[in-house]
Amino acid sequence: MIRLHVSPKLCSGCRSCEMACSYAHAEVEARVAGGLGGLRPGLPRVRVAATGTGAFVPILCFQCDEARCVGSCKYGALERSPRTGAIEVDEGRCTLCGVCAAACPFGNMERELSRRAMVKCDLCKGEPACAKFCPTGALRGASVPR
Amino acid sequence: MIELRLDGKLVLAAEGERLLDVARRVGLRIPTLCDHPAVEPEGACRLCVVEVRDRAEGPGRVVPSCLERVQPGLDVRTGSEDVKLVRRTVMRLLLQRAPDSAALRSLAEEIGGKSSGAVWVSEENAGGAGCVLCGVCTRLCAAGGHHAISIQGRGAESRVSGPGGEPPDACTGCGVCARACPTGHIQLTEIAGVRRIWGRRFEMIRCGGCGEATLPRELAELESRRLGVTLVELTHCPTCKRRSSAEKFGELPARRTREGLSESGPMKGVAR
Repeated sequence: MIRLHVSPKLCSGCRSCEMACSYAHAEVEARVAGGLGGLRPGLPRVRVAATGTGAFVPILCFQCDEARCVGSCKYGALERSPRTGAIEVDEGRCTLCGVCAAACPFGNMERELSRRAMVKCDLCKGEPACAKFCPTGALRGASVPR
Repeated sequence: MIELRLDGKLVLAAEGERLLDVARRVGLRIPTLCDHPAVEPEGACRLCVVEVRDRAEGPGRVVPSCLERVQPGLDVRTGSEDVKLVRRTVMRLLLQRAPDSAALRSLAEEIGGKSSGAVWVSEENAGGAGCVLCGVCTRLCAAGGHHAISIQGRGAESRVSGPGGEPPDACTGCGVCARACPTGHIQLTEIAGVRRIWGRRFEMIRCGGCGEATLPRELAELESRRLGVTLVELTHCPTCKRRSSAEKFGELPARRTREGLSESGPMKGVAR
C-alpha cells in the first residue's frame, strides 16, 4: 500500500506537484476530454492552496479508511485498489452525478471541466509523481504494509 | 476457469462471465447501446448479438452477448454472416425510431445497417434525437433510488416518461439519464443555475462560499438525508472546501531566506 505524507510546513508553494501530476495523467485527460485534453495542471488530484496567513498546503485525497465518497456512490463506481490502497473511479460505472464530490468533506474530488470525468488522486497507480518532483520534501511517498 | 472458443481461438474466462465482457477483454469490438456497467444487462438493443454453438452439429443460435454467460466448450462467433445480418436488421429498425441520432448513425456506418427511409417517430419521440427504448435511463434511475421514469404505454405507443406521461414528480434533476442516453435523446439544459429536464425545472443550490452552482436542490436534499450530511456542507464547492482544508491543516512555513529555509530542511541544498 502506498501512503503520501504531506508536510505543509515544508511546502514552498512552487506547485511542481500540480505540474508533475498533470504530466502523469496527460494520457487520461486526452482520452476523456478530447480536444480539451493534454496537460491540465490545476485539476484537483493535487492542489496547492494558500491559507489566509500565506502558508501553502498541498491538498490531495486522504484515501480515507471510511471514505464518504465511496459510501455516497449509488452506482458502485468507487472502489479501493487492493494494491495501492487508492480509491479509484471506475469510468464505466460512473454516471457523473457529482454526489461523491459533494460528499467529500475536503474538496479532493471534482467533476472535470469537460464534465466527462470525475477527477481524484489515484496515487499514480503506485508511484506518485507529485512526491517524486517535490523539491522540498513536503510531499513524500512511502510504501507501507497493509 | 472456463475454456471456450471465441472466433476460433481458445480463451479462458471466469465462471459466470458474460460473453460480451470476454470478447471485449480479448480486444474484439462488439457494438452495444443498452449495456451499462452500473446496471444489470437487459438485452434490449440486440446489437451485441453473437452466434453460439453448443453442439457439434446443427445451426448456431444468435443471442445477445450481454445476457449469455460462458459455458465450457462453447463455440462463439462474433462476426459470422448470421450475426452481421441480425445486426444490420436491428440497426435498420433502430434508425426508424431515432433517425437523427448522430451516435446511432455513426454506429450504423460501422455495422452496415441502413435506414430504410421509412421513419417511425411518434409525436412524443419528436424533439430529441430519438429514443430506441433501450432502458439505460430507466435502469440507472432505479439504481439511483429515484424510480422517476419508466417505459410507459404499450407497443408502438411505448415511451419513456414519468407516470402517466406526466413530468416525473420523483425526479431530482440528477441528469444521470441524459448523460447516459446512447442516442442523445434526453434533453438537459442548465442555464444560470436552473436545470431543466423531463419538463421540470430544478434550481441549483449555489456554494455558500463562492456562489458556484453545485447540485439541484431536490437531489441535494435527498442526499443530505441519505448521507446524514448538512445541506450547507454538501453544497459547498470543492474549491471552497479545499480552502477550508488548507486553513485546517496549514502551518506557517519556515521563514524563507536567500539561502533557502531557515530551518534545516531539504530546501537548503536546493535554493542556491
